[in-house]
Amino acid sequence: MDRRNFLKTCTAVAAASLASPSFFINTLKAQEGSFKPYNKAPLLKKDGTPIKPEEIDPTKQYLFFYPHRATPCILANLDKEVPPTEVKLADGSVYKWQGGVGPKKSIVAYSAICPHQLSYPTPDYSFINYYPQDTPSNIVKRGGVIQCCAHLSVFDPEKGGVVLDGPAQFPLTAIVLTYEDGVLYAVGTLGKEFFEDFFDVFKPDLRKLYKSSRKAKKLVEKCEVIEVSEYAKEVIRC
Amino acid sequence: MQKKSLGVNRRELILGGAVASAFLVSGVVAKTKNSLLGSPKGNRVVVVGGGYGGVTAAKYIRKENPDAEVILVEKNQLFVSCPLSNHFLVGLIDYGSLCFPYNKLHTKYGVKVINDFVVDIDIPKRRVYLSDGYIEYDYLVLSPGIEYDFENYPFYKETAWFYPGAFKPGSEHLYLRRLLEEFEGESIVITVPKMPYRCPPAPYERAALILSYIKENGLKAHMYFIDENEYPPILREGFMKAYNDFYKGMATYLTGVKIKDIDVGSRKIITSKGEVKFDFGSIIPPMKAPEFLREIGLTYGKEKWVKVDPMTFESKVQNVFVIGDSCESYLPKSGYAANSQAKVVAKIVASRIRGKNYEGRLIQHGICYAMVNLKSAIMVEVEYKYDVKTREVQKILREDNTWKVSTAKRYYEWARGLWRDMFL
Amino acid sequence: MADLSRRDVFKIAGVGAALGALHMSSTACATKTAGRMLPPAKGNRVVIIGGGWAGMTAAKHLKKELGDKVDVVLIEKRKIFMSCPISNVWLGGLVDMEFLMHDFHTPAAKYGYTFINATVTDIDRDRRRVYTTDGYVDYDYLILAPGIRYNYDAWFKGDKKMAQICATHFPSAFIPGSEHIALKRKVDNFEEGTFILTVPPPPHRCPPAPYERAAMIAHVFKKNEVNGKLIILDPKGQIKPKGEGFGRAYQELYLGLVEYVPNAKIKEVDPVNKVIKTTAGDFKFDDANINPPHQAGDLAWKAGLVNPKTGWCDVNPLTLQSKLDPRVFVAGDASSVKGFPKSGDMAHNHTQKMVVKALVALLKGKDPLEAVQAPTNTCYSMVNGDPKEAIVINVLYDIDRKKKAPVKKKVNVVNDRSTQLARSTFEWAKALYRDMFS
Repeated sequence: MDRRNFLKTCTAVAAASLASPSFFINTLKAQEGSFKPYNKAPLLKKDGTPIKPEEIDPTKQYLFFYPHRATPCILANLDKEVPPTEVKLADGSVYKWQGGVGPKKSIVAYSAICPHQLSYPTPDYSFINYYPQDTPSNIVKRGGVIQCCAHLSVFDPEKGGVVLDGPAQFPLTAIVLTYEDGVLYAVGTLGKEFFEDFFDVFKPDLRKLYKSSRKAKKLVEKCEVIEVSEYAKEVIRC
Repeated sequence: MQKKSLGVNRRELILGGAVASAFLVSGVVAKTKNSLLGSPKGNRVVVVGGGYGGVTAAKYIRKENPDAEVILVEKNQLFVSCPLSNHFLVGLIDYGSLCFPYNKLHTKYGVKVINDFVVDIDIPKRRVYLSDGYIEYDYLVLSPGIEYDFENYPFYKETAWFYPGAFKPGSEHLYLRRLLEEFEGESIVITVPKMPYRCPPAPYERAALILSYIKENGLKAHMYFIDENEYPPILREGFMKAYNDFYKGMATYLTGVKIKDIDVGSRKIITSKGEVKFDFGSIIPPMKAPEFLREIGLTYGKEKWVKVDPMTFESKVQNVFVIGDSCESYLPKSGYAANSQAKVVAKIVASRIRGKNYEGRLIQHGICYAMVNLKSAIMVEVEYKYDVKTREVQKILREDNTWKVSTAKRYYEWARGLWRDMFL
Repeated sequence: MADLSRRDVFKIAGVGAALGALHMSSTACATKTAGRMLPPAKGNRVVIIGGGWAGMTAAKHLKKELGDKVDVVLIEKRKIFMSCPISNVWLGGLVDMEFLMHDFHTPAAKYGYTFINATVTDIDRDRRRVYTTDGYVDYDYLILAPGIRYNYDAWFKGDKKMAQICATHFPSAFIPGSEHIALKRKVDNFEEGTFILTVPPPPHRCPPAPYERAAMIAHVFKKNEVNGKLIILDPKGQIKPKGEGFGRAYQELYLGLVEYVPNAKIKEVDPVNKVIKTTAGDFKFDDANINPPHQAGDLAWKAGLVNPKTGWCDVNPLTLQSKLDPRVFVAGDASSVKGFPKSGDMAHNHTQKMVVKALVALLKGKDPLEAVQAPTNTCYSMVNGDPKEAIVINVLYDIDRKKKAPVKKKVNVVNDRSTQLARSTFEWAKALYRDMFS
């Protein structure tokens, strides 16, 4: 696909997706292996009511668990319209990322499992975090990035989670969101998933938190959104 | 050891305490004519050495190309990590957390792991000889680590037994820990060989950690830190500030010193700047690539390390790659670097097995964390991005010399990530 | 303090030309490592192969008895000592791994023997020469303490691929190291279903170990609220030794969690489909600790000292000298002495009281048979983890000078598990580690 064509398609997809949420998902499905639908789960506040896009503070980092009970995701308001884009993998394959959602098309979500060596936020530490504009990363000297402080992989949340810097060989797994009637939903994932390895290597840790792998793997039907600092005792930035 | 010697015949120990372990033993063991796995079909990769480089290479070649037949040969059946072993020395972690089994390489990634030693490698015939036969290869990845250089510096051989350098994992580390725990003397010595050696910040970290341990335990000991380099070759600012801020008066840092001889019996180091007496120490010998690399023709003359293409790690022999501490590369010698280099080689080998040349980007990445006391750490990151087509290299270097407790926590996570990558 | 951050761009030259020609010769490798490692000894030289319980004991006690009058060389391939005794207790999560780990440096430095960290590649008994990866060394007497090896061939008949699948997917962990860690991970990760533990056919290393291991695995399962069970497949008709103590522990502590199947001789192991066929029926499993039959370690075979009918070395029952070569003592699990179980404690005791005493007498020109002393053997087994409780068996031997063999004098068994015995277990281990490593 040449660049011009691609941009056209994306715009078309974005426009359509706003009108009909299912359209975008169907388009994504056509991309081989990239989009994987899971439960359609509304993003809720602690009180159980849907979180409104304008309640997502652009200076903060939020966390929710999706598609499994134990798989954390980063939710961020990038505070500007984030257009769709194409994500290119090292093997040359390409998939489309849908861009931001919500009225300002500024809300994005990514799996918080680092594609490099699987660091993820635990109740003790959060090594992989979103850096809002006013909290710049010391590595790339700017905000608006997602960065893992174990091996310094830096990802671009504006560009479908592609690697900006560091050793990661894959982009972050994107969480596909839709916005319908004022409610944000997580509907699936986009890009390479790391859940299988995650459940394999962290089995003992996850059992401590969730009692069993089966329980940790349970697919969620709704997602409670919290600030990362409410979950992890220590949010480690670098 | 500072207390008793019980009639130890030192000479005997010098000879017998051979800490060096030769890889190649042809002439000792008869080379058998038995082909262990038959002729390869163009997809066979033999990886020699099950450390950071070898394990990662074996796994990632299989990941990048499931059609590859990958055999890993390693003489030890248990992996023990050298990274984070300084933590163990001062009691910050349990020895067990450094140990990993190799079985998942087989059960999860289909790598054939052979627990045997290499008798010989016949490069023209592309054969690796083991104790009970040979394996023919299409691609060879050598990741044999380092050897202490007792040949050029024989006086280190004896000291290595009594005051171990502990730069190769195993008994040396347990022994050094034990000596430190039982230490009652007045002076401790740590010596640093001239670069390059395995893990540049490690001696400086070890000095800082032992000093911190001395402080924490209220010991009355003075450290002589004898450095053959002018300054810490890496993270200089952070280390120097830490030594000044935390350990002023506790240690004497002698830099740019040439170590001429060591007398184990009277515990004396003879240097270009005078003699230093000590009660206990970690005397880190100079290092080199294992001798067998010379014997198979990959190093020669005075070369201590294998020359490779610095971006692809291919040696002068096509399809023979040397990664990790044995090769001369842009990255500092370290476990993390070996892990990163292995992924580069995996991409190239996986492509070649498919009959293609790898044309994407190759990224080498190095991160070294170093503790400056029992709680805080500093770190450095270096990255080389290489464009295979233009042969252009972009280098990025970042040092974080401001010590933080959070950096020490990242240090653990850094190691755990590596171990996950290799063994889980 | 300024943080340093720098970016450079440069180009590398083609490497092919720069490196020059490959200097290679097919005969280049022969000389350096092939040489003699040690000068000839002034007096007698005893070479000990294997730094396990027998080898470590032999090296220390020979030097203690004879000092400079004997030249002792210990050759071990591992970089670190890991204890097999107590490893089940570690498997149960009751001690750190460090409890099992010891360095080879301390005793060698303290007692003044030569420690060589190399792999033995061959033993030439005619020339009394041991070849290693570092060179060769000649001996006057050899103490061979190679431990055991697994006999997967008994099941897989030369199918190496199947044997490797079995060994890596369901490691046995009767030889310490990597396998133990892999097994622990399995046990800790097990969540539901059937976990099988097979007891090797006798004689095998450490007779009570499979039963202790079952108790420790059950302890972990209980703690982790595992929804499943542990099945013990035993080729014997009953639990032996300490059958009552183990039986009661399974009944009282792990009821419904542990199932004991006697007379289950293994006919076939299928590690791919996860089925074990036995004389007591076929068993499917989700995960397992599959323990193949044992036999004398590789080096005993290499030395040509193994009786192929039994798989073990025939020795003089008092001195443990090989029946095929009196210059060679076979210490530890590789030798076969009637009434001696294969265990770390037994190896330590028979090495100290029989092998070393006999060898010292020989070197002094005295009668070795007269010099040997009666050994003992003590085996603790941890059966409970919360609280820690153990049982114990203790065997006292006598030397029957007429029969020229050791005989059992008294057997003490305590089948009532107790916390005191658990504390004794740790003290027993610490005392032995002290003896061998400090």
